[in-house]
Amino acid sequence: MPNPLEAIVERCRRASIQEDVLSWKRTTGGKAVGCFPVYVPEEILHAGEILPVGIQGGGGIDTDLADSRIQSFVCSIARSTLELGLRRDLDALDGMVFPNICDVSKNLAGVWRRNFPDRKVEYVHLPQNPESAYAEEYLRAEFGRLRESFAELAGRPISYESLRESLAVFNRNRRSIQDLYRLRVEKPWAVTAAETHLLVRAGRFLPKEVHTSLVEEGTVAAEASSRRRRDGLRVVIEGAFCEQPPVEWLETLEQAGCLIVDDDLQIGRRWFDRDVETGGDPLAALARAYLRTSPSASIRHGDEISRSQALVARVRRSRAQGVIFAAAKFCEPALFDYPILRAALEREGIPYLTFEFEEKMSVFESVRSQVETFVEASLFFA
Amino acid sequence: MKHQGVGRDLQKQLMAGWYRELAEGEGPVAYLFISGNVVELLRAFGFRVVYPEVNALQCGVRKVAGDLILKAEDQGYSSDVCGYVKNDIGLVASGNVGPFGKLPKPDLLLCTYSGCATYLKWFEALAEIYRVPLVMLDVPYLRAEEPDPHAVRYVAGQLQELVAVCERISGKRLSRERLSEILDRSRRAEDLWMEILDSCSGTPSPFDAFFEAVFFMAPIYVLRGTEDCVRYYESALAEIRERLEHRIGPVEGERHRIVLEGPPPWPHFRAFWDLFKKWGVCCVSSTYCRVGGIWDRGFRHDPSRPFESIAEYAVRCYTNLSLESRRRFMREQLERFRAEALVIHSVKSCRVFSVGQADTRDYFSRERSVPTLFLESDLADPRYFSEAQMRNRIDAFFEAQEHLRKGVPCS
Repeated sequence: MPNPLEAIVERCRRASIQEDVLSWKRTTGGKAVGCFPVYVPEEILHAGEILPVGIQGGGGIDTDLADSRIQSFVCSIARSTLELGLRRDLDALDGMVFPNICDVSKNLAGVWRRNFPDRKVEYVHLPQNPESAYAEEYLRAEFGRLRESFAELAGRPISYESLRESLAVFNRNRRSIQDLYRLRVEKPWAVTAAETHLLVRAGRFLPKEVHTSLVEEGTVAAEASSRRRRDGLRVVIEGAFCEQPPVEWLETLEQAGCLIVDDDLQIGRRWFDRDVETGGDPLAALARAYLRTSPSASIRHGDEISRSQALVARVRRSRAQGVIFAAAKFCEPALFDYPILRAALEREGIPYLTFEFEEKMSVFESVRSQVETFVEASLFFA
Repeated sequence: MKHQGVGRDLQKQLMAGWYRELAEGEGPVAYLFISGNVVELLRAFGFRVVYPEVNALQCGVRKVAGDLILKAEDQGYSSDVCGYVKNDIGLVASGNVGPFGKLPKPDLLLCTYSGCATYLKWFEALAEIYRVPLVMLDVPYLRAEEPDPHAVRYVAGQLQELVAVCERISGKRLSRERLSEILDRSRRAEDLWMEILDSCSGTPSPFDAFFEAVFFMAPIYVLRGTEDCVRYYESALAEIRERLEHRIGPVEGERHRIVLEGPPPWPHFRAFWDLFKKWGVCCVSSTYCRVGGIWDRGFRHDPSRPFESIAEYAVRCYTNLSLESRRRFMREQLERFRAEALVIHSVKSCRVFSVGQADTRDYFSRERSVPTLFLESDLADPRYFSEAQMRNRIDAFFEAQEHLRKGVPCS
């Protein structure tokens, strides 16, 4: 019998739009809406009984159709997502939401509107000036606008009561993922980064309640597992907050001697590190949570501490010995932060290794040899 | 003719004077972006204003951008990020001395986030270097034709907060009277500039709204709100009126009227222009000359509504428009100036312009039957300009246009 963790991870590996979103729609008769990374207030969709579906590109697919709409110097996730749409592989989605994470995402909203005129397309502008006393009122109104828009799609009003319930459902989901991450810091050999990634990734397609159970069961199984303690270089991954590297890339890192103790993979799935208040005005609570408790990320401005201070703190907190920079090719927010973060690590004497990845990557041999050399140099010559 | 050449000559003098003032003048220094900026407010406090974008384009035109970009890449900047930013980082690494002289250090970095997300990353990098206050003026993207009321309140609120910051740094209280005078000068210059842009509806057009406008637009973006700026446009308009009177245009024998979308390839500006001149092309409108602000739809800075009009300018600037809104604007321009074609210059550096342009081409050529030429290079990085390839595409396009005009089917 397979180990229970591996069985759950296998279930998560298979999660997809074709399997899970379509079957959910058939069973419930509900609507589904795609959410472009990094952060979208999915709670509002959930409260309208709409299934939020996390968009994360198309893996290694060719982008023949999308190439006529988006130039080759634009990140892979934008092109492969459009490709999926043009191939009608996203027809299960009744709408899409694009946040202002970068210029690509903003303009993609317009490309989507033209190419899929029968779908609902929303754009959400998340404040880049959280210090302003006016930001909360603004964001609350922006969330209110989304509430009306999604209520129209759902064909039913979205009540405060259902919003509060959704906040609680998402709180529990984020808590389950945070617990899993905490386990990784303590016992990184008990559950690998690739397994964690798959467990978290399944939340893109599954109803939140189902996903929470899977992650909770996975964490319990990992804690109980008898996997042997493994040594390696404790590292943090930085830069993969939007487009995701191939799972094989993560596996290669681990096989080559890294213990990945923290990362920013799919950071939008565990965006707040504490619960959103569930009493009072739920939209205001969500707006406050975004402004006050969002994690440090290249696509957000306005934290009290700088991005480099936040990265160094993350390294210290997770007792990491090094950093793996992993920016998606052409991802401007990550690539702009890189020289600044790198300089901070140099000042702090923290070793790092740099990669640019693409969804399409399929050969990992050079990654393996680079990581092996990095691990050896850091462990033995530090 | 007594006015010809005035527009270019006076512009050069004004720009040189402005850079001199930056190097030698007194008063606090603010760094500011061009698109949808709030310079009137800064002027009311006596800030000297540095525009890193303008410095970057100057480096491009004067052919030093390539080396500066390499300096930034040596520091870890990717070959795939905006060349303007890298040019600026390279400039800082060179002691902030460019072909225009030495630039003063900032006391304030004011990031007007009007559409371009790279602006944020750019000033975050400068804040790391200079360790001075970075104020973010967050301008919500204009997702629909009209701004949301809550977005307008948010911008207006931030402007009030900005006033407090400016008062602290400059040590001066805001004088409403002074702000009104500045806004009145902006409005007067905007009226004159619009008259110049509108003159392109004439046949032949007396003015090229891209290749000439990139020079003529400098004062409206760099010196808006000053008396020099108003005087400049009075002189420039005299030149254009004289051209109208004598039926002279920027190209001899205007043969093709186009609208041009996107920024210029600064390091190869002359070569790029020559490729169009050869075909008798006049750009009767362009989006780039409106990159900072759009006045075609009646907007003017307004002394009677100081904060509202400053906010409105920021929200409605070109780069902050949704793709649909940009397309509607291009459509209006194509019709109003009786242009036969749209030319899109897609630059790698600037995703806020370029993402969606290929879809825009598809829209105009397929849904609107507007002949559309799509060209690719860069605004800052000389490595992305291939003259031979550019020439092939431009020649093929206008050859086809001429065949069509003669009624000869082209294969």
